This record gives sequence, structure tokens and C-alpha cells, in this order.
Amino acid sequence: MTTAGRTGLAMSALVIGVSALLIVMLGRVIQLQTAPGERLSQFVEDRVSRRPEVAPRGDLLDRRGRVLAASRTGERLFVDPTRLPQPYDEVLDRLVTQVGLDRSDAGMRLFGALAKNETRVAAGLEPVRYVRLTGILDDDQAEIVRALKIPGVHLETWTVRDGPGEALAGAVIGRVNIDDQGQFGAERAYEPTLSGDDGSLAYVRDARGKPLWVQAGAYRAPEAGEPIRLSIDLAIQDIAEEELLRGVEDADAAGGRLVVMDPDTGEILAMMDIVRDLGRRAVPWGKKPSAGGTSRRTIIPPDPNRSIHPGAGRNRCVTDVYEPGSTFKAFTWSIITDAGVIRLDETLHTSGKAWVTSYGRPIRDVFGKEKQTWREVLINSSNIGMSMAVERVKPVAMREGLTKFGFGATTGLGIPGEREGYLPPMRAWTKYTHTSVSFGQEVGVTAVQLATAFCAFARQGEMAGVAPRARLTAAPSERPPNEVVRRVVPWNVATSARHAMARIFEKLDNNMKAKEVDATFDYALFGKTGTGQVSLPGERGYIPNQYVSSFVGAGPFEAPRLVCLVVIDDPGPALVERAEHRGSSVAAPVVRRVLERSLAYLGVAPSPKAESLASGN
Amino acid sequence: MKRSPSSGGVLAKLAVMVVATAMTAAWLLSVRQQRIMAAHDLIQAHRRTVENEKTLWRLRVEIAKLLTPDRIEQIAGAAGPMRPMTPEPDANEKALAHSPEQGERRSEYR
Repeated sequence: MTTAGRTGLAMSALVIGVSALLIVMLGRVIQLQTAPGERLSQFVEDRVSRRPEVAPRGDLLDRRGRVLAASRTGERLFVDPTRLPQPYDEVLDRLVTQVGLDRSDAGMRLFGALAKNETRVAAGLEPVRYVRLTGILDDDQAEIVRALKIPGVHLETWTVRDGPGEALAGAVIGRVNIDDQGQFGAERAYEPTLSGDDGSLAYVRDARGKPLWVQAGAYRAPEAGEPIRLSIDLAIQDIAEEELLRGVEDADAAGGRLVVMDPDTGEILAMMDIVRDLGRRAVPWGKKPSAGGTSRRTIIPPDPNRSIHPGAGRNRCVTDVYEPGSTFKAFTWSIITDAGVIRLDETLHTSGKAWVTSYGRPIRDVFGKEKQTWREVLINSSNIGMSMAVERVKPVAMREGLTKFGFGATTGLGIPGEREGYLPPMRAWTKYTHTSVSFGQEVGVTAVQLATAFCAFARQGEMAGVAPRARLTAAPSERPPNEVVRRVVPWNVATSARHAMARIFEKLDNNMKAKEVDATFDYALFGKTGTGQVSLPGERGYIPNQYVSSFVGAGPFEAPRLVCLVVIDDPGPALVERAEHRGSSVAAPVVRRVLERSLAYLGVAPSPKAESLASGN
Repeated sequence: MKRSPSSGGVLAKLAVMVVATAMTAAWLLSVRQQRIMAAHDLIQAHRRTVENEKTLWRLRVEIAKLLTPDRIEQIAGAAGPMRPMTPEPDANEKALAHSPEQGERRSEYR
């Protein structure tokens, strides 16, 4: 072979060699990219971080768009005891003095975990490496923790629900659990709408753990939950809280409930529930009075959740059933009138303060009247008059009428735990029941149920007598204002009842003006007072000298915009002794003040002439 | 020694091929590096967005707490006596015309 031939051969071999090398390298690159070996693929997987992208929960807004509850992130402090430097006392001391932790609580958690770890390690188990020491810290505290840089002390981010609604309308709003899911109140009722859909992000990290890139399809954007506009008006709720607190304290009562509604739409504008700790002034729940001690019983069932969080307790406006007493007469009076068995001007001989029914049951009145018209029976809240008239109506008709008003069924608000109240079934409807129901005994109602039913008296024109559907979300503006949901009595009967109830408020206003010389009222109102007795579960009969006093009212008389019910649970013994415990004394002033302030806030023009309106019919 | 006339051509072709391959590889590496940098920047931007969103959530809650009726009442009380809005806009304008400060304040709340 010539030299040229050898050189050409060498060149060809080089070309083939280099080409082969390039092909091998290309093949290796392709293999590494598409199907790395087991060891390498594990290494690549370890370099991929996945983290959830939290979708914010929808806001709860009031009817005017003010935020009641919204999501935010907060940080909690936890420690890894295996990395915590010794001595532990010093670490705890730094956290307590500089971050402001509760020494006993944090100490108990930390040293409890350390002791547990000793036992676990001795048993050959892995030690616990996560010990939460605090709840959500404020921003300043979190910054201090970061600045301390103590090994083994970490912060973790959590989503929390916060906002002004918690303090003002906690029972309505409810609360979410640790997984950010609605657990109580509106948070639970509207969970499907409020909850968002969490996203995720997977990214490849470099050797130092810093993010390098995101592969296609490795990011899923979070979808935020939808906001819900509740029917609650924060300003009216604020007024309600202030006035109910005042009313409960003035009455030295064990608690109070309040509901404000828009009678046209059925929207709940305010819902308030207060429970007062009477301490030693009342016998604890479930116990009977002992000789020599107080005889005042605790009539509100205990609610341990309430002390944990305002939103975790019962919303007593929908869960606690009470005997309405005379406020119920507005409804039974209308049903009897609608039955056509009595005229408004028919005179009943009510025989003073006592009368005996056809089956021999004695009935008593607080204010004795020898005779009164059917209209005056409602104004005077006469048990005798109601008992006489109800004998003309069949029990079936009475029960059916009350069912139409919505008694004995939930209002459909959707608040978890709402009770149906109690309307005796037909088979248990005795003569005795028939009489008792006419003046609000032997029945049980919730505050929301009674307020919703009363809306039928507060509607205008031919809509009077039509009950709205109670709702906790703001009514859409496109909803027809004259939608007939449930006609309960003819409009003329509802209007007659309203006129009679305006006279009741006139009397009360005069009493209030006599007590408070400076009292001036801008709006003519109408309403009905009630004082129910209390019976406790597992016991027969009523508790002596303890009552549930209530008042349901609406205004302004000429074009009602608001309905307000106030229930004062167990007015104090001093008031009972002076016979000032009745709904007219303890609940009516609260209704008056709430309606006066709320109507002014809504910009409702004052009533033209309060006195002349009420006496128009 | 005399070189084969074809060997020079092959060598040149080989050199061109190697250089071209090297340049292509360098270009590919540079594009890949740019892609990594862009993805990295994207992740950083995303993280900043998430952080800013968290700040936004916190601020929204704080604003909500500062806008309660109680708080507004306090602010209004501290701002001095206020006149209720009258139904007639003209009368309102007249009432506010006396005080430029009140006029400004009113426009803030509109």
C-alpha cells in the first residue's frame, strides 16, 4: 500500500470514528433525556419539588359589599425537638420573652414532646419531629421568630379566616375548620360556593435546592372560591348588638336574641344572640335549687363551643325553641278573623280577670275587662277573649292556619342546626291545647320563625298577608318585588291586625315617654308583646318566676321597611318582683331603639303623624 | 513524500463538520441555558406573585376591620359635627357650600 493510500485509509477511519463517537454521544443524550437509568431517574425525581397552590376561599360580604370574613395567611410556630439546641429551658425562655409565647402552654407542649421522644427512642421508634407551640402569630411575632434563627424552630404557613364579622356576627358567619372547610354557620351553609380548588406547582431544583424550571403541564393554577353576599347589614348588626346588650343588662337577664328582617324580601338584616354568665346568681344547668341558695335556674342550655369561638357556638335564633306567649296572638287572632266566625267590632263579655272555658278550665287576664271588642282583644292581649273566640274555630283550621304561617317547619335559611319548633300534631291537639295555642302556650318557635311569620303583617297593599321566604343571602335586584311565596291570610285581615298592633305600640310609647321625659320617636311602629313561661327538659310544668319576654314589631307603620323581634331570656328576679319583667317592659324598648336607629340609617323618612295613622281603622 | 490530492479535501471536510457540530452544540447549549434562565425567572416571578397575593389578602382583612360601622362612627365623630344628607341635592349643595372643608370631605365619601 502506498503512503497516500495509508493516509486516505487513516482519514477514513478517523471520520468513521468521530462520526461513531458523535452518534454514541447523541444516543446517550437521548437516553438520558427520555429513559434515564434507575439510579439517575431517582436522582432526577428527588430534584423535583411539588407544592400546593392554595386557592383562596370566597369572601363573605354583607349586603353592601363590606367584607365580613376573608381568607389570609398566617404563620404558626413549631419546633423539631431533635434539632433544638440544649439547654431547652433557655430556648423556651427566649421564645417566651422575645416572641411573647404563653410560658405554661408552650412549656407543656415542648417538654411533653421531649419526654415522649425519650420513651419512643428507648422503644426503638423514630422521635416526634413536629411539635406545634402556638396558634397563628401576628406579623411582628413571626418576624421576631425569623430573626432569632434558632435551629429547630420553624414557622409554617396556614390559611386563616379573619374579618370584622367574627366579632359582630360570629354566630351567623360561623367558622371554618383547620382544613379551611366550613364547619358552622354561613361558612358551612355555602361551602360548595365558597371553597376554591387548590392548584399545584412542580418544579425542578438545582443542586442547591433553588428552582430551575417548570416542565410543561406541571403547573395547575388555583381557582378561587366565589364570594357570597349575605343579607346581613353590618351597620344594622352593629346597632342590634349595642341595643341588645343594653337591653339584656337593663333587664339583668340571662341572655337575649334579636332578629331584624326586611319584610318584602325576607332578608335577615341582623341576627344577634347573647348569653350572659350569671355566675353564682343562678343554679347551674341541670341542677335544682338547694335550700338557702338562689332559686334562679339556668334556663339557657350550656354551649361549650361558644367559649372556644363565637362562630362555633349555637346560633340560638335558629336552634333554641321557646314558648312565644302573647306574641303568638297576632297569628291566632288573624286566623280566627279569617275564619269569619267573628267581626272586628263584635263585643265579647270577658268577665273581668277570670273566666272558665266550656270544658271547665279557668283562664286569667292580667288586665281585667268586663267587655271588649274583638279588635280590643288583640290590643289588650286578652287571654279570655282569645279563649272565647277560639272555641268557634275548628282545631284543624287553626293548625292549618299556623302551618301556613310557617310554624312547625324550618324557614329554609340553611343554617346548620335550625330547628322546626313545635306545633302539636293533630292527634295530640286536645281541647286544652286548642285554648292554650290561642294565647301562645303549648307551642314552640324559633326567633327566626316568628320574625318571618310576622313579615306577613308588614307588607304593603295586597301583599299584606303574604309571608316571604326567609333568606340569608342578599336578594337579587331583578327578583320581582311582588312575588307571592305563601299567602297566609287575606290582605284586609293582615291590615286590620297591623292597625290593632299600632295601638299597642302607641300605649308603649306613652309609657316610655313617661319614664324618659326626653324620649322622642320619629317613626310610628306596630307590634305585639309576649311573656312566655319556661319549662326545662325532663321536668313537668313551668319554672316559677322565670320567663322569656319578647316583643315583635315593625315600622314605619305607613310603609313598613323592617321587622324586629327581641327575646329577653330570663329577666332578673328584681324585675319579676316588681312585675316589670314583661315583654312590654324589657323587650319593647329594645325594638323601639333598634328600629328608630336602623330606619334612620336606611334613610327612611320619619312618619308624618304617628298618632293619627294608628287609629285609622 | 507526496500527499494524496483527496486527503486534503477530506481533512477540510472533517474540520468543517467538527466545527459545525461544535457550533451547533454550543448554540443548542446556549438556547437551553436561556430557557432554563427564563423558567427560573418565571418561577421567581410566580413566587413573588404568590407572596404579593398573600400581602393583598392580609391588607384586605385589615381594611375590612378598619371600615366597621363603629370605626366610621369614631372617625366621623372626631371630624366634628356632621349634617345629615337631605333628600334634595340642591339643599345639600347649599348646606355644604358654607364650608369648603365639608364639601371636600363629602366628595371623599361619595
